[in-house]
Order: sequence, then structure tokens, then C-alpha cells
Amino acid sequence: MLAFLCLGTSVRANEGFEDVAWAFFDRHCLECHDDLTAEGGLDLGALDGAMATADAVDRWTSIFDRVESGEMPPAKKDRPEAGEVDGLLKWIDPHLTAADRARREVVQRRLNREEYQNTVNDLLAIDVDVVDLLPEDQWAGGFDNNGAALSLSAELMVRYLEAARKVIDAAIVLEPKPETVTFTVDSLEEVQRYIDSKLYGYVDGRVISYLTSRESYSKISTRKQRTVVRGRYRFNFSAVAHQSDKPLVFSVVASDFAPVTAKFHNLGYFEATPEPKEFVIEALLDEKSAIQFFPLGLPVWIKDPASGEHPGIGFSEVEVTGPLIDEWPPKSHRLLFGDANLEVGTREATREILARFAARAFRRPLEEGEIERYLALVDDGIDSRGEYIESLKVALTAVLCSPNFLYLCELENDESRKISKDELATRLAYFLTSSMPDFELRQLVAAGDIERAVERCLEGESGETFVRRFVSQWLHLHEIEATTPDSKLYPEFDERLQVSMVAEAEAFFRHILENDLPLRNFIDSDFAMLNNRLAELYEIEGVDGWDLRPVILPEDSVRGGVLTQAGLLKVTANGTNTSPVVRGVWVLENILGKPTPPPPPNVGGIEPDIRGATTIREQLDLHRDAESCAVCHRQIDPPGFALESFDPVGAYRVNYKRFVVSNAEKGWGSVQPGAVVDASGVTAHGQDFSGIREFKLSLLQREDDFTRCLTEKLLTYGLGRELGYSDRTAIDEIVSKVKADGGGLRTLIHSIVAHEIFKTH
Amino acid sequence: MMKPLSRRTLLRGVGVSMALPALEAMLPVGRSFGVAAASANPKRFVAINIPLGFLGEKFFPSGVGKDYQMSSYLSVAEELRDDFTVISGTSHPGVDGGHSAEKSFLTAAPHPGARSFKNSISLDQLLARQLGEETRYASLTLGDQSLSWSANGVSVPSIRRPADAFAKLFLSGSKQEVATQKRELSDGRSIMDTVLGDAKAMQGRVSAADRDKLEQYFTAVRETERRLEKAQSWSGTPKPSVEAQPPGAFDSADLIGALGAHFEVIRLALQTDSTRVIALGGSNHSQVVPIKGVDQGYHSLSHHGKNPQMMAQLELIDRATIEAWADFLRRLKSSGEGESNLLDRTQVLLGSNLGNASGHLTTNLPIVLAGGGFAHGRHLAFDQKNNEPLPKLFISMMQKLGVESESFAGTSGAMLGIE
Repeated sequence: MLAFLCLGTSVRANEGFEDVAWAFFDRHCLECHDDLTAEGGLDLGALDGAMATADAVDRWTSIFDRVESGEMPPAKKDRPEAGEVDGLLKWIDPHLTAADRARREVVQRRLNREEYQNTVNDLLAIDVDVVDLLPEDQWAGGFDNNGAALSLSAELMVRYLEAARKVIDAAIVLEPKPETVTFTVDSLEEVQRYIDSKLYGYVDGRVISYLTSRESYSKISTRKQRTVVRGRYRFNFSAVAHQSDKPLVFSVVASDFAPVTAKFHNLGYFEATPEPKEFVIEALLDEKSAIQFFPLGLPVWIKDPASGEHPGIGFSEVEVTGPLIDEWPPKSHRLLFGDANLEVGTREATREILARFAARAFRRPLEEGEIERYLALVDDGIDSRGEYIESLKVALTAVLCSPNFLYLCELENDESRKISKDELATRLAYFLTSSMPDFELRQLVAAGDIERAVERCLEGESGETFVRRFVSQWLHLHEIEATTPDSKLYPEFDERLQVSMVAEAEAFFRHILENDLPLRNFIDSDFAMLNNRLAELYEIEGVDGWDLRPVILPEDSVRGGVLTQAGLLKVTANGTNTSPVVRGVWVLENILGKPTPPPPPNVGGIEPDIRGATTIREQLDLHRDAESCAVCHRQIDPPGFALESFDPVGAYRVNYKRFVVSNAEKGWGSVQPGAVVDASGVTAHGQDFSGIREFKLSLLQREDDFTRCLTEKLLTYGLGRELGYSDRTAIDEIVSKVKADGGGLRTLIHSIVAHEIFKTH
Repeated sequence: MMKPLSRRTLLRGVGVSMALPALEAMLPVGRSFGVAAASANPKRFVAINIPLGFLGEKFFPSGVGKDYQMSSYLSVAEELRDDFTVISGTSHPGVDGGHSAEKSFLTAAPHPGARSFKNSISLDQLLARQLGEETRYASLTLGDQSLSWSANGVSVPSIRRPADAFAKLFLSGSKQEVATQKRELSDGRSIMDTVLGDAKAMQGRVSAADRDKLEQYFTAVRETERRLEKAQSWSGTPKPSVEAQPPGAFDSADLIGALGAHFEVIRLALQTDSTRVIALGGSNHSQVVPIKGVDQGYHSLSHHGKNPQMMAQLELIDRATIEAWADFLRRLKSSGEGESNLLDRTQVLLGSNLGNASGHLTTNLPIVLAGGGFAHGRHLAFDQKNNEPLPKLFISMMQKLGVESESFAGTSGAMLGIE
């Protein structure tokens, strides 16, 4: 046997490999998985019996899972006897556990760029934007905070140096306190000439805009008088929905209007009502900046502006106050220098400044003599350039380039695998707030009050960060802007809808988290978090207004749970059409916790053909006929088919849509119904479903798979590492605990943090 | 939420002219950074990736070898026929994952869409180690998406706006700014020294896996020191002055305008010998490209599903892209350098990480290699079903550039037919 001979040269296999594993392979597997056929890319003869490499551990895990679930050997082959399967699995388990555990360590992970920005801002009570200075982070395991993927190189180090300079410059303020001023700006002058032609209106002291603009600049703004310095500003104005019995939405966007490099910062979405309403917005603005108003959901063009009968949004003049200053010098200055006299700059004072800063930056007490290097840096600076503050700045910048700051350091202090209290506080803070632990959090953890520590993290703004970041990565909403739906087929898609999609997913997660609702709500729920724009898309009556709120769904609604949320349906489509494969792969990976391997080499993908000759279903049916494709597509296709009832913007559809051209030269045409959608199928477990509602019912029967899947996601995100075979016991323990305690999301987070796995290396 | 920039298109980088002193006169003098005299015959490399690719049936020629029939798209460059080679039937082995294949265009690292993908060094960064020693910048990474990756898989940040690249290459800043920059370079070196001390103190107290991370840190710090030292040695040499206007702002949808401006900055960078290695990552945005006849988003058009109206619009964008590339080649060719011209001394690789964007297929990539002193004028047609590994072309290119190499990303041997 050729394959067997190869083994002699490889690493020594684990004991019993030949008698148990190889004997099983020989009887049941080698026909397809030898070196000649290597079906699905698996050649068992080349398999590393010692499980010594990362690749080998992955392969063995996959063999274990496929054999355990009965997927392999395939149904059409002879079934192994029950005892044989059991014997193989029992042999694999201890060896694989040991081999996997050796690789599953929380590696020293550096801050990703969002964590870096949050951390420097919390560390110094400043508000700088440095994300764009840093290179994009690489993801692994579905998240952007994976220690193995977060590498460091000179490219990044050079940027860290630059970012640190910017941070320290922003924190040290030697200038006199700027004066807070109040002034009033109106846009009347800017639009005066359009008022005559009725493109804009002017009623009750408000400029009325009838259009939704596609431009990035608005004529209704405070541009006439821009900010002089960077700082927090307050804007007071009133707005009204004009000639409309319904509320209308507008966005407020700040810009610095720089000619080539203009920056835009969206300050939020607001609702104007038929009754005039007062608004107060506080925001951080750069120097030379102003805010602009963009009405949304109005036509982009109107035929007869002169009629003056169109709905619009009216904006009053704006009262601007700022920069708003609570204390001077700013808090950052005090945090750094305390009461030190910077004019004199004694060595003792310098030591104190550096030690205070470094201890907070390193998130632990300093060690003996640790600060001397930094002190020497100041001394050298003074010697060579004779300037105190500048030399001090160099040392402070250096602190932010130290591995102690850039990495979440978990040093080996003794024989136990446990991390220290300070390290635990840091781990917890980055899990739930994506920033450094503050003093109170460190105290709670030191006192062993982990429950209150978790609750503290989930409070207020920091809890929002967790919801936003976790949801956007789990549900792939970070890709919400990746494609723009075809405007001919989906003219209803607009900015309001896109924003609402993301808000819905976050609000849904937050609602379940806050109320500790059972996790099964993610599969199907009797409520949805909706505003008027989403309700319109979902064809649900009686939801007015822009704010999201829990709405009880009608009995026969297709909505409920995350699968049928518009945002998810959009990011799993490509803007023009939907693919059951993409959506199926998504469901397997993120709901059922069964990631699909990439297709074997040279099978080729399917090129969509929407001319009507074949449907994607027919193409997939062909595909499934090949055994090497069928193994995975039996799992992938059914969830994808169930979701075919939803178009690329998340609307329910009975028929596909096609755009039929009537005038090719001008590109005119109309949307016509195409083929009827078939959303039925058979799950991999053999259950028939006629559409999405029945499919969700079948998913509910596999609730434990989902609980395990979400636990794994949260743990992957919380530990910053991918999970493996050896983590399965911990996951099972957490899952049982959560089930016993009511199955809620908040309970799950507490159970994860309370588990041993969260406290060990 | 991002708002598209206004339709106002400022300078298009058209009609930019430059009057340069003879190149020899511009060679930096008096530097101490271990550089011998700059080579008299500099060899250069430019790679361009168009992430959504081209419609294959319009892009690939028929016939093979010298007598091939120019394709519909490439016919615009007919007069340059002897300056480029079209290659069909190639792809990177194991590189799948649809759009994520962009990350592997210059690295050939397999499975870029996998959950635990880790990238490896890109061709440009590998070349820059050797070709980058003599120039102010070892390499430039331009465009919407970075094609450049360090050896341990960190993305090299890309300069997105042509105007920013122009400023980096040719604008020096005020006297005070220059003085600050100089001081920051020397401060930077002291800082690197200091933090190295912190890292050393950590050694011996970390686990095996963490030791790897710490090793990465050491390497990064030492490499940063080296770069700062090199920058210091250049800081006394003024940047070359060119008589061109800096490129202006672009409507963010105007990818053709941006491409043209990038090409002009690249040409200036090569002509002034500011760098010899450049990677340009094109755009795959979802906005409507401002070309007459196009009214749907670029990305959506690429998912045409064989709809003829959508394919017709996509074709307009594809053609404009090819025209910008052909124009770039012409400009390089008319830029003389000694007895030669820039095109002959510059390898220009145009390609895509997708062979068919509509189906997200990563095989049968559209590839054209121009310039660089190769014997061109041919269509190399490899097997459509069993693709020739594209890294073989990279190996051929490295060897021609005098960078000794037998393999790249696990593939060995040069590409047959490239001489």
C-alpha cells in the first residue's frame, strides 16, 4: 500500500494510530481518500498521525466531525459498525484535545486600530481621530481583534510613531483659553435666488428645501460663519415638515470644506414634524467647519417647482455656541501633569509625570526601575536641544510606542495558567468596551466582583461600543455600503433605509441584551425593532416615526429573528441579484456554527445568468449531482433557498423582478415580474419546508446549535483567538449553564466571563 | 454615512507638462547611506490591479503567439503591439474567495477569503528590498486598495489621492516644517531605542507563542530605525522639482480620472527616480462612473448576469480603463532616458484578481505585461481549465530585474515564453 509506506518517513504517529485509525481508514475511506483520488483534497496517506501541525489539527478535527455526524463515509457506501465509529472517535479525542490545546493560547495581541483610538482617547480624555493614520487590520475567525492576525511591521510602527505624536500634541495645551462665542447663521442669502424660482421656499423665517440632494454639499448650512478653533459646539435651530402631514427625516453632516481633502462627519438623523420642533445638537467640530442639513426621502427632482405645493423641510437660522469649555487647561493636561510646574521642570516632577502616565498606559502598576529609560530620554533631549516640554513630549510619545502599551500583555508570572487580576480587567474591558479598563473597573475585578464589573462595562456609551462592534462583525454589517442596489430594479432603496437596516440589527441585539431575552429570539421572534422606514419595507401597518421601537409582529409575518432583517439580506446579496449559496454559507457559519470549507480546487463557480434560460436553482441542482459538491451543498443550499423570498434590499418577493427595456438608446424601460420564487427545500436533516416560516421552525428545533454558535462567536471575540477542538468542553459547560439559567443573552455574557476559559492564558 | 463627493471635477491632470533637468544632474549627492553610485541603467516595476477585471470575451485576443488577432479592448493599443504581451489561462494556485482575492494579487497567498487567512509578502515589497536602496522611497503604494503586504502580512497603507502622492514626492513644505521633520526623525530613532529596552525586559517572561509576537516587535523596531536612518540621510537632499501642477480633487465616482492622474504621478515618480517600485490598486466602488451611457453603479454592473444592457455599460468603463493604460504606456515610451526610454526600463503589469467578476471567479485572469525590456508582441495562451500559475510570471519578472529568485509563494520556475 503506497500510502501506508509514506507514513514511515513522517513524524511519529500517536500510539494506536495504526491499529485504530489507520485500520478504519483502510476499511472505509481509502477508496476515495488515497493519494491518487484524494477526493475533496483529502489524502489520508499524507495525514500527519502525530497531529503536530496546525494543518493536521484542522484535518483531524474535520475528520472527527464528519465521521461523528455520519456525513462520512457517505450514505451510498457501506456503513461502518457502530463500535468501529465509536472506537475511532474515542481514539481521536484525547490526542486531538492535547494537540489542539497546545495551539490554543491567547497570544499577546496588539490593539487594533479602533481599540487604539478608544484607548488613547480614554487614557488622555481627548477626542482625536487616528484610525485613518493606521493601516487596515487583518481579520481572522470572523473578527478584527484576533491576536494571531494582528501583526506588527515597520509600516505599522512608523504609523504608531506618527499617531502617538498627534495624540500627545492634542493632550498638551499650552495656549490661552479660547473664548466661547455665540453667533447666529442663516442660509437665506445662499438660497435667495432659488426662492424666486421656487426651488427653495421661505416660510415663517425658515428656508424650505423640497429636494433630497445627491451632492455632498447642501445650500442649507452654517457655512457663512465657520468655526475658528477645533472643539465642542452647540447648535440650536428649529425645523418643520412643510406641507406634509407626515414627519420627514433629515441628516446633519459636519464638514471642513477643504478644497481637495474635505472631511465629512455625520452627526445623525433627525425627524422634522408638521409642528415646528426645536433641536439642540452638540458635536466636536474641526476648525473652519460648519454643519449642513440634508432632507431625506424627498424627490431628487420635481417637474413643477412653481406650483409651490410640494412637501419639504424648513430650517430656521442656527444659533452656534462654542467652543464649549468645562475646564482650562483641559482635563488631558491635568491628567498628564497634575500640579507640576512646567516652567521649572525638575527631574523629580518629570519622573512623577512619566510614572503616572506609563502606569495608566500600561494598565498595571510599574515595575522597579521601569521608568528610568524614559527619564533618560528626557535628559538626553534637554542636553541636546535645551528644551524641556519638547523633550518630555518625546518620552510620552515613546510610552505609546512601547510593547507594554501596544500589546495586551499577559506575562507568565508563575506556574499556574491563570492571568493576573490586572490582566483580567484588561481582557474584560477590551471584550466589552474595546478600550482600557478604568480605575473603578480594575478595583471591581481586584475585589473579585466580576458580575458588577460586567454590568459596569455594559452600561451607557461603552456598552454601545460592544453592541455596535460585535453586531457589525457577526452579521457582516460592516459591508453594508459595499454594494449599491440597482436603482432601476430597486428604486425604493435610499439612505434612510440603509441607516435603518444597521440601526435595526443593533437595536434588536440591544433589546435582547438589556432584557436578557432567550437566545432563540435571534432565530425567530414575535417582535421586531422598527421605525416607519423599515415598517414600510416590511409592509407592517401602524408604525409612525423615525425612532426604532419594539413592534409585535402579525401572526403570519415572515419577519422576526435576524435572518429576515433587511441589513443581513442586503449584505448577503450583491446589489443586483441574490445567491442562495452566499446566504446559505452565511447561515451555516453564523447561525448553525458549521463553517463551510472552500470548494475544492478546479470545480469552478457558477456564473449567474439572469436572462431566464436557467434559474440559479437549476444550476445548483446540476451542481449537487456531483458527489464532491453534494457533501457541502446539501447543507448550504436549503437555508439559501428559504431566503430566496427576499430581494437584495430585504423586501419580500413572490416573483423575481426584471427590467424590461423599451428604449435601448435612452435606457428607458419598466420593472416587470419575472419567474416565481421557489423558496421550498429539504434541510440537511431531511425536513421539508415550504418557505421561510417553516424553515425557521426547523431551525428552532436546533436551538442548541445556535446557542453553541453564538457562544463560540462571543468567546472568539472576547478572547481574541480562534477556538478549536480543545475548547469544546468549555463551550458545552457554558451552554448548559446558560440553558439552566433561562437562556438569556445577558446571562450568556456573564457565564462566559465567569468561566475558567476567560481567566486563563 | 459617506456622501459621494460632488460632481465638481477639478483639474484632471491633463496637460501636465514638466521640464526636467537632465536626469544625471538630479542624482542625489553627498549621501552617506551606504549607496554606491546610482545605477546607470535603473530597472523598474509598476503593477496595476483592476479589481473588477474586464469582460473576458472582449479582453482576450484570438490566436496565439506572434500572429495573434488583437482583441476588441486592446485594439486601442495596436501601435504598441510590440511593447506588451497578453497572457491568458493563468491564475494564482489556491487563490479563491471572490473579491478578497484582491489581497493576494501580488502575494499569491492561498485562500484569502478563509477565516484564518494570513497574507505573505507582495511582489513589489520583495523587489523594493533590492531595487529600493538607491532611491528616496523604496516603493510607493497607491490607489483605493493597497496591493502591498509586508512579510508578516501587514497591509502597507496606500496613498489614495494622486494629489497626496504628488505632495509626498515633490513638495517640501516650509523651512520650519522641514526642520520639524528632521528633528522628528532623530527623536524617532531615540524612541525606538527606548522601547527596544521595554521589549528586552519582557523576554523570558512570555510563552512560546508570545515570543513570536515579541520577535515581530523587535524586527519592526529595527526596521523602523533603518528607515528613519535612511530618511535622515536623504533629508539634506531637496526633493526634485517638476513643472507640473499637482493633480486636483476627483469626484469619488470618477475612477477613470483618478486612474489617469495616478498614472501621471507614477510617470513623474519614475522619471525623477524617486522610486523604482510602484503598486497601484484600482477601485471597485459601487457608484455610477461619470461616462456617457453609464447610469448604474460600477460594482452592480460587474454582476451583470449576462444582461446585455448591463454588459454594454460595463464595456464602456472597461474600454476607458484600457485607454488610460494605453495612454500611460505611450507617455512612458515618449519619456526618454539616456539612450532608452522609461517604458523599456519599466515592467508594467496590468491585471485583475478576478477572471470573471459576475461569478466572482478567480481563474483565467486578464494579464498584460508591458515594457521592461522583454521580447513582446505575443499572446501566451495557457490552459483555460488547468491554469498556469501566475507566480511563474512573477519569477520571470524578478529574474529580469536582477533579483535572484527561483520560487514565489510556493511556486517554482519561470514562465515559459517570457524572455
